[in-house]
Amino acid sequence: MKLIKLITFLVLIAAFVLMVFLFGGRRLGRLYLDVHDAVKSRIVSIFEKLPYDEHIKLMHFEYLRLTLRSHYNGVTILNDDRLMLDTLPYNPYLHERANAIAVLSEFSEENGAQFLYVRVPSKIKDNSLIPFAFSDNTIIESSSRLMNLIEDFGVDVLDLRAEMVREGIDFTTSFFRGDHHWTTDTALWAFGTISEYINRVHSFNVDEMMWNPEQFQRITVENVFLGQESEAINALDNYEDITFLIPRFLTDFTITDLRGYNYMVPLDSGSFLDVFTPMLNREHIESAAYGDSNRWFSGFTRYENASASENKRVLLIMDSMGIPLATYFANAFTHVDKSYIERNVNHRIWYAIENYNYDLVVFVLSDVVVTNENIQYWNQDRVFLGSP
Amino acid sequence: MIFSSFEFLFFFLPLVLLLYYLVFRRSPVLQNFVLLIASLLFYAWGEPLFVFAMIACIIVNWGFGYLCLIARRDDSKYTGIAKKLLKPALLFTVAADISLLTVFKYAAFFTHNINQLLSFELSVPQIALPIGISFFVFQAVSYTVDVYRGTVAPQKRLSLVALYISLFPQLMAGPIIRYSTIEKQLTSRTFKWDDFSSGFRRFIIGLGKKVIIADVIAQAADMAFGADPLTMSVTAAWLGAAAFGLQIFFDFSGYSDMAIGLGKMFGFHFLENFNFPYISRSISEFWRRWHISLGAWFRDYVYFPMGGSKVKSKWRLVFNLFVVWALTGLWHGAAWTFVVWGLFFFVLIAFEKVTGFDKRIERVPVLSSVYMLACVLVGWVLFRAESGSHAFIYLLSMVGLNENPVAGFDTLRLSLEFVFTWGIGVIACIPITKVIMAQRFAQGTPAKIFRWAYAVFVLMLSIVLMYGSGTSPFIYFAF
Repeated sequence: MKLIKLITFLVLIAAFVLMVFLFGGRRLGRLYLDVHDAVKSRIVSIFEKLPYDEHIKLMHFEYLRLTLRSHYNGVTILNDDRLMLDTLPYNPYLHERANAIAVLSEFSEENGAQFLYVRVPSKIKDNSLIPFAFSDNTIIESSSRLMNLIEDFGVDVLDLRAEMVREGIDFTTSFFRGDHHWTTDTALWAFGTISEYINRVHSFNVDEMMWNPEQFQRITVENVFLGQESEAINALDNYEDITFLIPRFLTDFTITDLRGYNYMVPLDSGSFLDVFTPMLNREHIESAAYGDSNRWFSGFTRYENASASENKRVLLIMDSMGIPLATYFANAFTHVDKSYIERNVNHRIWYAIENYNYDLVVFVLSDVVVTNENIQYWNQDRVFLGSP
Repeated sequence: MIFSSFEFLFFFLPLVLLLYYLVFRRSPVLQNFVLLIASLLFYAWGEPLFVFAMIACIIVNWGFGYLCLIARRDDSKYTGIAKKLLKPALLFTVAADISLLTVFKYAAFFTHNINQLLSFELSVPQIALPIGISFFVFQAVSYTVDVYRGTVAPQKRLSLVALYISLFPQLMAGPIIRYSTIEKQLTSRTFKWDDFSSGFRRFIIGLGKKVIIADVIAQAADMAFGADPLTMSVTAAWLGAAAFGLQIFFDFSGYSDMAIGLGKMFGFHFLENFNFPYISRSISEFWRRWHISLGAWFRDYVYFPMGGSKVKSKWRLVFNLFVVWALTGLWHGAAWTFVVWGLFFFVLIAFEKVTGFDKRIERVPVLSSVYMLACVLVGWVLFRAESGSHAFIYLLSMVGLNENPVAGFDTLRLSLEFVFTWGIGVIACIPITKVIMAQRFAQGTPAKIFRWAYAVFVLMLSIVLMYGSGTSPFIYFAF
């Protein structure tokens, strides 16, 4: 009798399972999974933020310091307690990247645009502030090597690192303490240096007013910005000031987002204050500081400034360091297209250069992204034929 | 759900304890029911679909036990049929258990290798590996075989077999519990404050091992194994292997501590799974101290049935060891690196057993430790490396055969950056704290206060680190 019961029980179970799968399995299964996911995510969300959240995170940071850590979660703590993006390994692919940039330069010139490669420094002047165990860091060396390779290919190059050193600019105050981005003041200086260079070498005529600090109203918001590196290692007492530089001269912008090849979506219009600083409030402050906080994820944005004095078309290919730069360019030039390097696809750059009649293409690359494997480079099928 | 997550610490565990000890404290049957439902929900949290496969596995193994029950009755008219069905049913049940493991864990591996060997083009199945499958399948097999052998009495109640196999403290990553260990505890457990408190403290110490030591030293291991092995320095290569050795030890023994501690909190007493393996003086001794429950399982269900060491010829002994260690390697992962890792230990253990080397080396303290550590660290490189070629180049770097320097900045990074964790990790590997605690803090109120203060400190620090850096899964979940 018990054996019959056992067999019957097993057969019933099997039959139930079969029926569920054949007739109601899918719906039942989906319902079950939906309920499971909903309950799980609800419970997890309750515990995502504990009480005294910031205190616990700060304690974590203090623990790191107590245990003599100088490197954590992709961040290196410099000897002066500033934070730096992780030191990067030596990149063996620099020659391919230099080639790709040289190809882009050649293509630009074929399409009537002058080309300038701008090397943006990281926040260290040299390796002396890097903790000893990490002082085989190759950020500066790799970036210099890439720049030299590009220059060897005959591309016009401007080294902002060398300019900063030459002018005796203090690296420690030119960048945020807890973030790898430069301050808006430093970005303005960089724009001025680039403008002087293109005026001198490429026969442009950018008005000196465009980078004269006295032509800008300074609005400093204190203790609003927590840098990416500060956040990464829970240094939550590391809030910094951000200074907005609002031009005193006239600006009249129309901003468009370019999606696909020629599909344009209007984004905003108005003065610099209207379009680039709508987030003079705590929630929206990011290292970019300027209105592109909401738009820096866009791969391709167009700034048209009806009040600009320099009637030229410029393409800026850049990483996030170029975000404040782009706004200064937009103050000066009637037409600036900004292509954010990590979020763009190569065909749009080529299409843009071929079709949008640029006068100048400026390729801005920071030391910290030179060896970033995520950076897309252009059309490796086309090999630069000029002599290295 | 993992033990080192806030959902477990602040929601699941308190809720289960509340239901177990307050709501249903007067009914052992309901207490078991609470544990069973909690265990199934615990598993369904991460495996909402595969939990049904586990339930099916439980039912099949329980069914076999029930058949044994009928076969052993004298007063049943079905005894004869049941006896005839016993062996086929055993084969069917064990095959069903192993098939579960084979399909989910090894199907892709076998298909890929068949394609390579025979130039077929079979489509390689992409099946996600359910967490803990290797552990509960082995537990199910051990129950079935023990019942067949008569080592344990078959359990009539499905709920108790289900509870044994799915008990959440040891479900995901062991220890692999024998039914005989837990049989009486399933039906009669009494609450003792000493057991509960010591279990709670053990749980916290296990959590600390995972979060404070394993997860931190893992960063060193990742640094070493993520670097180019061709250019890394000799000392950095050894430090990287040692870092992984510490990581896997504290990760896994930490989990075992948590499992044993949790079991104690509910009145279960599990056997130990680690016994300070890094103080061993031979490889044979190492494997008597490391993942004890797995070694015992292979010994009892593979090695001994094959004759063990009581075989007539040394070649047969070697063959038996070969099978056990190949399977041990394969159990750890569906990749040839794991098989090679297992066979690496086969070579060492066979050598020790056949020549008696382990008995001789154990008499020489320092040399034996150096021998054991060197072999184990080489083994960890095989275990951790991304591929066979990565392991090979890494091993060459360990002995300087890649023309790599003896030391460099990578040595400094791996040592100085983690100096604190190295310190507490190495100290925690040796039983010195256990000895000190036993001698100075065994009894009395100051001892109790110290033990609790220490546990609270470890818990607080663990919460800070978990919150600051996020939770990471246990290594052995992948097995």
